[in-house]
Amino acid sequence: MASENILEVRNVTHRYGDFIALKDVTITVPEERLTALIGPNGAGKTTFYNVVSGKYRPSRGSIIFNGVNVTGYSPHKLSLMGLSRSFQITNIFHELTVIENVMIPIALHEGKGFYFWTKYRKDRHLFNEAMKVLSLVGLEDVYARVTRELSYGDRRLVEIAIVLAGKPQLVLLDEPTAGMTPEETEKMVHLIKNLATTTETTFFFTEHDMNVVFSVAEYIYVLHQGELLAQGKPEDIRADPKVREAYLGGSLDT
Amino acid sequence: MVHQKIGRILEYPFSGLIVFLVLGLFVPLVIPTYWVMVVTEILIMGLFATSFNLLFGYCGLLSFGQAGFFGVGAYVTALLLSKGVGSYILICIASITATLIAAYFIGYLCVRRDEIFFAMLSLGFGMMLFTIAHNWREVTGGSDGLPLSTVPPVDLGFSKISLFHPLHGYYFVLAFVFVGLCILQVVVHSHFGLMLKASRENKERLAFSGGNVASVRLVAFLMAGGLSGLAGMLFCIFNRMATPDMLHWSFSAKPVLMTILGGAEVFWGPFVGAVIFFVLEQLVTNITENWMFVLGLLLIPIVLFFPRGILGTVLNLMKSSGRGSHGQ
Ligand SMILES: Nc1ncnc2c1ncn2[C@@H]1O[C@H](COP(=O)(O)OP(=O)(O)O)[C@@H](O)[C@H]1O
Ligand SMILES: [Mg+2]
Repeated sequence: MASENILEVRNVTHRYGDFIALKDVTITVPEERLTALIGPNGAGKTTFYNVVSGKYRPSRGSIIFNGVNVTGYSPHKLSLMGLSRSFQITNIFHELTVIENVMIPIALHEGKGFYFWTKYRKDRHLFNEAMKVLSLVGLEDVYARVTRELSYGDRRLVEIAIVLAGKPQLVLLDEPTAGMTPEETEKMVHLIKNLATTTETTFFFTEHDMNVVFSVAEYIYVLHQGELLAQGKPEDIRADPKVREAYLGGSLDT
Repeated sequence: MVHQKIGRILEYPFSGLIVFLVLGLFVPLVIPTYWVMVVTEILIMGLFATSFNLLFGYCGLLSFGQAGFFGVGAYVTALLLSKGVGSYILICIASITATLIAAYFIGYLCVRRDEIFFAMLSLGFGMMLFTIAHNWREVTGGSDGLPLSTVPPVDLGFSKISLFHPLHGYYFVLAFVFVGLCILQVVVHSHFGLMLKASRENKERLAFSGGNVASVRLVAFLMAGGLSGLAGMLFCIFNRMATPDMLHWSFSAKPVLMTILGGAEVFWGPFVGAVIFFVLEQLVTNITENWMFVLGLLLIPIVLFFPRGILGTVLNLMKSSGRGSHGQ
């Protein structure tokens, strides 16, 4: 039987040479629970996502996605299976138009990547699907623009659109509000909450801004120096002295 | 204004092919026989450069061994013709198949690398093919290559057409080159063509969007290789020989130069580059022996000041002047 946990990461260790970036980390994400991974800079959050999304193979441990052991699978395979991710540093097709950015994952997920004789610009279905995704993130008006010309916040939204385009079951967002202005951050937080409730996709995000985490997440994992420090509901995490210490006080109360 | 209209027409994907076909059909009727031969060579090298640019312009992969595939096509053609094979359909299928096999093995080993590593690997494999052509005397004729005493006529069913007549040879080449360019043109506008652009732009994002970067590149490598092989076949029939220098790395530099001259970002850039290359070569060698020096003189300002190449720059000017007067 397929498990109700969309993601189970079991005892994962990851080394960069001699440096241990993740140490025996076990994290479970149930379907439809908006989960967050927090921790100070350098805690290993991005490394964790790189391991889960197939960028790196973990030194030890296993990754179970939707009941399937996917340890060592390549990123494109995981993407086609329904595991999608964003990056801390905006990772999009800067020289292509906004709609082309979204058409690429849709076409790939529809198995059209090796269609040699059909014009993608004449594919009405592809265009309509891409516009649907763009309207989810509010970018439908700028669909024909070259992505490079957009504001930073809108480029981050293009990446969210790319991530959603293949109708994934699980989405990993690596610091989706990184580098954003307070207004852009608020918009992004609202968007994530909204998507998590209106779609069937499960969202799992990392964040360093505590306010964002406590207002959005239903369940939180805390990573510190590569080790899992705590896990629980937002109110438990907020009260946890170990977590306060890891963040050197202060920032949790702001 | 006229040039705006031209700019808009040029943006329509297949207008380039129509212009090409009209010019290709009628130009040889009004130029001297000697120039018909020059234009025949332009067609062949234009196809070669355009297939090279599928990798360079669309995938961002600088292949420095493309002449190897050109040479495989040429040698297979020469071998079959010297064995008395008279069917050009058969020769075409055989040279493209042989080229695809070579491109599959070489591509498999190259496409996982980027930039200088890809360029050097492709150069190395190209030189291995050169060495085979140069040293395997019993089959390839060594450094002399394989000269052909004659090429058979084309059998159209109702009549047989001799390729010795320059115009016949020209139209024979034009037909193959046109088909090759049609294939490339369709591919770059296809869903697959979008994946090529994506792989050039950001291969990591492509992978995390569900695209197998190595497969996308390998298929492009096969297409570019196969069409380079087709160009090699035509070159062999046109020159009635296959020689090892067709596989040498200095021959691989020709499509690179033509593409830089014309512009890598536009589909017709490499072809226009081939036209400029050969026309200039003809004009310059009439005056001086130092054609390569003049070519260098021309390339330097293009690389420094017009990195989009000649056609790329012209099209860009047309587009922006069109946009400028739109606003008024
Ligand atoms: N590719 C890498 N090679 C070596 N060390 C790395 C690499 N990526 C990250 N690190 C190190 O691993 C630790 C965790 O980094 P990271 O996963 O980026 O943390 P976070 O995302 O929580 O800020 C840091 O000490 C970082 O310097
Ligand atoms: Mg990080």
